Amino acid sequence: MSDLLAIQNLVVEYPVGGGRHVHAVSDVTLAVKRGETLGLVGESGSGKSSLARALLQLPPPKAGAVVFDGQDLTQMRGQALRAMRPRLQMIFQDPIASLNPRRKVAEIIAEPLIVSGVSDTAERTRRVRAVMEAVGLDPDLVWNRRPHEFSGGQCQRIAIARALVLEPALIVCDEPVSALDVSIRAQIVNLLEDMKARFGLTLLFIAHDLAVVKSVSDRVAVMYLGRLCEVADSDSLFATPAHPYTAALMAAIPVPDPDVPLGDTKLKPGDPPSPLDPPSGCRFRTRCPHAQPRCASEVPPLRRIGPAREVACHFPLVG
Amino acid sequence: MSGQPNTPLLSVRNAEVSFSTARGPLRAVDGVSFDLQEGRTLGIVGESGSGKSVLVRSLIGLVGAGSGAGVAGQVLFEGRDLRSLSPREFRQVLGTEIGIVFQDPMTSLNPVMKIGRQIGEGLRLHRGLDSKAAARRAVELLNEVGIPEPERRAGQYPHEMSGGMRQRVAIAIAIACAPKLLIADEPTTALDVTVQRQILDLLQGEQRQRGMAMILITHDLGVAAGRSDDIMVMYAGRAVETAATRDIFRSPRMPYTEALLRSLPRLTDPTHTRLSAIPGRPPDLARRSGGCAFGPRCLYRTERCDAEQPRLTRGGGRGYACFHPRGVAPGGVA
Repeated sequence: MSDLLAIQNLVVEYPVGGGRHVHAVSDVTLAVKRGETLGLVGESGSGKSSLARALLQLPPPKAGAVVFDGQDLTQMRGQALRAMRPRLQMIFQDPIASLNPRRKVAEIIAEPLIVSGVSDTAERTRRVRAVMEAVGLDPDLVWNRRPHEFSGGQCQRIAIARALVLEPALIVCDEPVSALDVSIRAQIVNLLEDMKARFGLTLLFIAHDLAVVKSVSDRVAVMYLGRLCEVADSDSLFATPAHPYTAALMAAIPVPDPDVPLGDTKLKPGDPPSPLDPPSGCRFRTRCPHAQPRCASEVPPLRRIGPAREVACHFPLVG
Repeated sequence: MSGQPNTPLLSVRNAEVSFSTARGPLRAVDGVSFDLQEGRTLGIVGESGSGKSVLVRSLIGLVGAGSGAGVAGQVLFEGRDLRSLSPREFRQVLGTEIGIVFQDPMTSLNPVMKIGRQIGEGLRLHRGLDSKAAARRAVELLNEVGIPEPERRAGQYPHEMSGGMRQRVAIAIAIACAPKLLIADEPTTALDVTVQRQILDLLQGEQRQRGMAMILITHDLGVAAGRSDDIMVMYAGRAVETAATRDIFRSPRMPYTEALLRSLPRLTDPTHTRLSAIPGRPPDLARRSGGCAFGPRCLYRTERCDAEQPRLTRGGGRGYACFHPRGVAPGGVA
């Protein structure tokens, strides 16, 4: 499989005054293969949402390349970038906030078509109807209604329809089910899986719920404080985590089975450090049970330890 | 003051909460009864709109006449009827016997009062400690809930701390007067998974050490599974199933509980396993029908379910509100 998206040495920093910066994403290199779902997990401050926005040049990253289908988006401006936009779409966490409350559902879904220059009204109507049906919305029932008349799950269907209407190659899903009720989540996860198969999509699926990520992802990347810890195929990552942080995340997951004993995260006590002033060397070392002096002096590079596995740790648990 | 052996610490009978809305009355909690014994943890699970938070808030007077809600039912704490107490007596019970931890510590803590003073406030008001003694005890409590450099932290404001630290402070406040009951309303929903783990460990540790009872309100079945002795499942304002935690997960009786458990993604399943989604969505409480609220989404629905509201029937240490309860469901839990 070839890479649809190649992120190279990506750096995202935000100024916070006083000459200080939030180091949101630091030197991340990561590829998404054509047709796969890549899961991206991490806690708040890990930089996963900053990375997603930087891919779409919202805003452009401070440094690094974002090569989409052979073209570096960070080198494109104006019209050239706008011409690429239809091929990369995004779905956000809060479906209600991401939809314009004053517009009718049909207008919301048609808007990307208008922006990208589909001027034939009949053509737009045809495509909006088709995509509504694809995501399980009845066009005759929803056409003239507004977002506030819908539940969170239905709004997420509308947002998915809006993302699909331009037939993109890649959809970045930023926590697409975390704001939804438990009984609705499975519906939306299944819908995304169906849409991926039907439209041949590639997905970057960002979430903090590891069970959902495991369910949809072919490969998973784990981020901590702006850096990648580990990238591996989903089954081996969850079976034998190589990075101590991945292992801690797994052990911390509350499992919905009272007979499964609580795992031991082995974390040192204390909170995650601030991305304003990340630790030297390995950024996880202040909480890592295996930290050595070398971890403070030397940034562990992401290195290959198996056919489909990379880890950024001087002392990985496997490999 | 303490109850007889076998008298529940907390006993709730036919709790009701209704709000009047532009579209007519909305019954957010509809006839819920439960008992909680000393030292036990009851997990209350449900989705948004199930009434789990409103129920518990109504017990402690946070939802009531002042907020335009109609509240009914009986609440006995150690045999005392909380709803017949004078405001002064009620405050005394709340301040000393019942501790509360909310989802968002940033909104439950006072942003302009130093941490140490907030923790000591209850001790001064309800336990008669002077300022010095309360301040000393506040530092001890900060240490107990795992905050490093407690002396320095006691002089800080909430905004100077991380979300996990603030929740530790909220727990210190809740346990300061050594309550017999701790109410935790989605205490870790706003926190990251590794911090969530630490906070839940802290809550459980404090509970065991102090022999407190706990009501743990959560939408996360994983949190409920690992931390509660018994579970009450709520749907559309009603208790639809109550049982020991293991029984809920091993052999759910209520089709809603069964469907919810089946819909969860499992780490043990291979990638791309299709999830067993529940069709439809929770009902609009302002347009309640006469039948079972879960009926329209239920696999086992019959005419009776549309015509008649199933009551919570109890027996063998568990209860369910269903005309077609599941037996020992094979595969009910993956």
